[in-house]
Amino acid sequence: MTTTMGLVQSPAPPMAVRTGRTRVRRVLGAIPIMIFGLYVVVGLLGPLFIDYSPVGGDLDDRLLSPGSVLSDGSTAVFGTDALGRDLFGQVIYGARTSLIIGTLVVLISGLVGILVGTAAGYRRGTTDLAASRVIDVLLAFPGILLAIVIAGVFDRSFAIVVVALSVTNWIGFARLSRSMAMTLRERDWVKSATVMGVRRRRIIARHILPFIAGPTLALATTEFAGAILAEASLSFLGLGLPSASVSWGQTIASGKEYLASAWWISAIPGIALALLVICVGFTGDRLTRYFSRKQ
Amino acid sequence: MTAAAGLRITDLTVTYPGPRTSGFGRRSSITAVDAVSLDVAPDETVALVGESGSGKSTIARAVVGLVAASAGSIDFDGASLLNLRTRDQWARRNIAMIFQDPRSALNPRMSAEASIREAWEAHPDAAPEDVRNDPRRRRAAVVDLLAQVGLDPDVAGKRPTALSGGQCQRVSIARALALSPRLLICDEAVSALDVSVQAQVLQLLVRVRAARSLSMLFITHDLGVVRQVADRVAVMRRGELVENADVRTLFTAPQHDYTKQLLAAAVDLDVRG
Repeated sequence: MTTTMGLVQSPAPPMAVRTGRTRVRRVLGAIPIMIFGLYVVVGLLGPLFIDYSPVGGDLDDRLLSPGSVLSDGSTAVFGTDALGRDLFGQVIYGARTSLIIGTLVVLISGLVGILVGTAAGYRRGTTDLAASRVIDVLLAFPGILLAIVIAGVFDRSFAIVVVALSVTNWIGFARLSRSMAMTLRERDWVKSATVMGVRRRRIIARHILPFIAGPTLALATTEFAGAILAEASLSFLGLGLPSASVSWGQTIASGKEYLASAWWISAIPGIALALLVICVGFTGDRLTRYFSRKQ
Repeated sequence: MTAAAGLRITDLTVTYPGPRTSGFGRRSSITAVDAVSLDVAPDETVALVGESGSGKSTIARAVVGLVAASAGSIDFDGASLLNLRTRDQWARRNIAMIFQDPRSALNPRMSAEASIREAWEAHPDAAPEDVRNDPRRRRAAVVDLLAQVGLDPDVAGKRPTALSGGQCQRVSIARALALSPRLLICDEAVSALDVSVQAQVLQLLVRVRAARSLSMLFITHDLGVVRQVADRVAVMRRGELVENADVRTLFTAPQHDYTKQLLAAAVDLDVRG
């Protein structure tokens, strides 16, 4: 039997084959990644350019439509909400909140998931049995429900939101790395390392984890989008971040009574959220395709 | 009984869990190896032949600890290899194995040099003296090993995907030799290679075995290969050892019907091919 890996070294495709259509497709394919990148830049640097508080507002300026001039003479590009707070500032600060929460949740749940999944898949036996049962039980709950329960029990805080979302998100990483570790441990290079007496930790670090990394990165983008969406849901329900912080979910919730008269309060952060999640999703799909082709 | 030098397998039985007979029924078990006894003396090459599914690879895997034995014993130089938990680094260092598929036996993300050095990292005391004392000499030691298996120094920096099947198998052999083992187990080590490459790798194994006076357990289904390498041949069928004889005796005067069939089939192929 031959391996799937690079037996046939395909020659580089001739440049002439790249017709105009494939070039258009490549450019179109890069758009979601560029938009995602834009969000990251805005989330990182945007707040530095806003010299007012996004949660402070003048009641005189309440419910102004996008583009209105405020009482202090400045222009509210995205309009203001029911308390006269500037929506542009809220969207920019909300991007930062979403990115930070998404990153933290993916980091924590990815770390825990890979640890549990790899250990279960590589060691099999009781470790696998215990891990699989925990995963099965957690899978039985709808993820957001579990997060609502956890966030509801404790006081609203940043840390609780991250924990509540991580509790459900690590399962995906654990399942992926478990199944990959299970097939990788049967590969001959793992066996020959075992026969040679290489220590177990070293085998996992050198012969298993590098092969899990790529698909995990692809999964991480999807989980990142899921975490952002879940945080917005929690904040919308009033279970998420404390009211002093800015979150798209809270902004959307604050506009829900004015949908008929001041649509922009809910619509603009809603569009920002949807666009980010869609673009991250496309990026994830692309990574998944890239890594499955490489395998 | 004389002091047991070399590999001694006594009444080895290996069973695998089979399919369940019903949803809640007990698992049946499949006996892959049934009470096999086999010795490999120091400096001797024993070929283990048989059709696929006869249990020959299972014996190899039991010797290196990849599968557990259900009954019987495996000793190497008088020390038991069977208790996998207490199985010490000594055994792992002294018994090396070469796998069938030359590519998947090497980590595709590691260079040949890294693969070979891994053996020394697992057994620092078995590394050549200059490697232990001076890390800068490692490259030279790797190149030296590669030269012993007939590879150029520039192979050291290459990954398996950039090497041919024969080159990969040579790197595997170099890695196996890195720890100066006393027993080399070749599990269909040349079966996946092209015929011409097969002959070269086979010659290499014979040469290495002679130069280092290794014991070798050579597992194959190819009787033509057996004649070139083995001193003694053990024939397996459905988990049982049916014949164990000198190469010359086996090829000239096979005792068991199954061995005769195997030989007849091999001759047939030789004539036609």
